[in-house]
Amino acid sequence: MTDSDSLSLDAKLNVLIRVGVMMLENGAATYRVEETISRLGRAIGLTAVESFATPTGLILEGLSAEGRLTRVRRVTNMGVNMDRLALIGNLSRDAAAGLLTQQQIVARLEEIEQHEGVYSNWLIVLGVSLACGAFALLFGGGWLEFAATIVGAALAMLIRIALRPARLMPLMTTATAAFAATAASSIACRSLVCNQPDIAAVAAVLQLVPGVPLVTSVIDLATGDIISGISRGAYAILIAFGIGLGMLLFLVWGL
Amino acid sequence: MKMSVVLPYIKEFLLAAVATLGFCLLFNVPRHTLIACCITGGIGRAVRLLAADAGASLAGASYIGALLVAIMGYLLARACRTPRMVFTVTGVIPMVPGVPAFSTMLHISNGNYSQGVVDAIQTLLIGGALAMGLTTVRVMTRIPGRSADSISKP
Repeated sequence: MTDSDSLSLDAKLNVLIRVGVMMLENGAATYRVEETISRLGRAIGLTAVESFATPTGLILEGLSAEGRLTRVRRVTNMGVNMDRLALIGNLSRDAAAGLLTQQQIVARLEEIEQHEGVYSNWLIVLGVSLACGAFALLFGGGWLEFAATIVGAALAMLIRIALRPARLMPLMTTATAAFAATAASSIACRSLVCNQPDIAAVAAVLQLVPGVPLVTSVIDLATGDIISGISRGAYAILIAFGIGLGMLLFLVWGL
Repeated sequence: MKMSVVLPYIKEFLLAAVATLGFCLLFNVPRHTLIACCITGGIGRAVRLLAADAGASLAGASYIGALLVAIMGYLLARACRTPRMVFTVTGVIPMVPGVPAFSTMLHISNGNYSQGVVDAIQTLLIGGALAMGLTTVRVMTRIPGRSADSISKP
């Protein structure tokens, strides 16, 4: 690696913090974020890196011949894109193997940052509705409950997509979507005269289950990242209460 | 073995695989892992049903299911060169205790606390079993070594 190829310490830390923040935004486990930062930091020519990642912020300090520098950045959590996590994983693996120059690492990172979702919104609505329908059948419902669930689940998913640009509080979005799913599936159930409206409502609402924070919370606690683990768990519980709130709003208003 | 014996497990597998697929799309899982994710989710639930039919409690069966999902996640992550989370998160979601959680909420909101507590315990046991299943494999397969080059001297 020639000198002209080499980035300044500031630029190196900029790369690392962008990688870390992107991983945290997409729900990566804390140990994986810190490990990727330290691997990539070594690949990019830092003498040492120390990072502290939490779900809402990232602190990292890098040391090189130029001196030492600390960076802090807030993380706002929006949506999960696991494809990005996979691409970053490949990037850090290739970089650690010495296959990439520093410029190439920056170029690959920019490519990943441009990378949007893999699947179109319509495909997601279709897939999520079918998934919730499958839950209705798994919970012992019949084909009428399946149909009612699909109505509720599709509406809720459409609402989630529509609310995405508004950047509301996650609790608000969840409660709204849960309310819509419960209302639509129950009303559909009534018009279809199916006898288990509860099953349809539960199944339609299951798409809101905070699966990523729940699992990463467990991973974080297992790997000793207690702060991240507890806060992710608390967040998951909050979302679960949001689901309950949305459902109860409809069920208590009565039918 | 008669077809009618296997049929419930096949049905469970297929439905859980469809359920997993929906979450895969929602979480933007890499394309080349889609099928592997669906198989993981399907097998998790089919094995849970098998364990429950063999006499395990629902929580115990969930532990076995989650354990299998975690093992498959570990192996598939190596084979597909993808983060393990891709498989474990989507694979474990079909086993989430949705119905017990719902009836907990309904009973407690109706002031029917004693039944609500029973359902809440059921929900927590299943959820805890899923967490323990994932953790078991996690702690056995990997010790994170991230501070090897940390800045320790001023």
